[in-house]
Amino acid sequence: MILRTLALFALLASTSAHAAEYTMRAGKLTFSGQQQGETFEGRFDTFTPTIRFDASTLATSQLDVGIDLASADTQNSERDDTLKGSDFFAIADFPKARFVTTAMRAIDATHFEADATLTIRDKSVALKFPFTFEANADGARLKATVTLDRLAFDLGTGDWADESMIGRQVEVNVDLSLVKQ
Amino acid sequence: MSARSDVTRWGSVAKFFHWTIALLVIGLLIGGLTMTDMKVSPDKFKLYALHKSVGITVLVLMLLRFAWRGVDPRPQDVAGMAPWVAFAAHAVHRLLYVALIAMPISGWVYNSASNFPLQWFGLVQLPAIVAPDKELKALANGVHEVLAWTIIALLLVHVAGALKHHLIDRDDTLRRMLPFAKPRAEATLANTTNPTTDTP
Repeated sequence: MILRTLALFALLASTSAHAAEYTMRAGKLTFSGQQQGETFEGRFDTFTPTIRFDASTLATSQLDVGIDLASADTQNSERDDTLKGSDFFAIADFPKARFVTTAMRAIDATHFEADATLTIRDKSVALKFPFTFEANADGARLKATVTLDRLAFDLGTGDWADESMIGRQVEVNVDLSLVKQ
Repeated sequence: MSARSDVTRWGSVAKFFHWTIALLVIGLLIGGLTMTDMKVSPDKFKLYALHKSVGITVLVLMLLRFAWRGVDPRPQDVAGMAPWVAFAAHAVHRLLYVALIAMPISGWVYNSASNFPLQWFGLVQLPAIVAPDKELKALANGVHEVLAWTIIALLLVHVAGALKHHLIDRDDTLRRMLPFAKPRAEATLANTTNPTTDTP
């Protein structure tokens, strides 16, 4: 009886345990797109990831990232102004993008896939988010690459929708160095 | 018409360079002054891409023209030009050569410093010649604009000089550069030997 109670407690403890929290030591959130047939690279300088992760309790693991769209930088002021203007990010009305995972699956010890929702402007799009999470001495490294359809987020509609002018696919790369709390 | 120039007239190659570059440069000046005031739109980006492609074309043509001038003789000045007029005319020519080579290079620097792609009519990818740099971008932009107005001023003097030769001096300076015109002396000779043509 005592053993069974202990076992039950242990079971409850393990399932209700929250995944470990991580803070970002350093991180890169970059993207690359096509303009007039040539690839350009950009990055977001300001974003705030809230990360709870444990490979053994994926149900309570979650990535939640707020991205300050005004911090977008493609090393080209004309392009950046256009990107932040009303035809694209429209930062005056929608200053932040948000990425939240809703479920996670393990593929192997370091590879995972999350169901996630990404909101840019007033468009929320569900997407699959494959990522790697590798533990190290004091934390972990999280890396991911995902390709987005800019038109799904109303980024550059109307005259800007022309794919030969601005490519439709945008590749986003995430590389975060995390410290375990 | 000979490909090469001789003592009295320009050859077809020199004429080709002169008039092709003239048309392209006038188009670039009008397009350049128009597009900078446009609101940002895909059409603006397309016009810029076209401007860059044509500008690169002018750079290549100017370099070829320069090389051709090195091996092609230059017609002599028409008789009777005042020394200061001849000096001024040649100075304008040299300044135009320099400006028309410096102009596309300043545009290329401006484009590279701005971190924009550079393609020649979407066919050839051209490299950046400087790294992205805000200060250099502003400088190159200023140089490009000053050169535009310099070229406009030089063109006005150049055209005014050509028209003065043609209308006031009534000499062959303009005629010998026109694509199909003959020098006055030959035209007169042709008229006098052609019985069906009215002669004054």
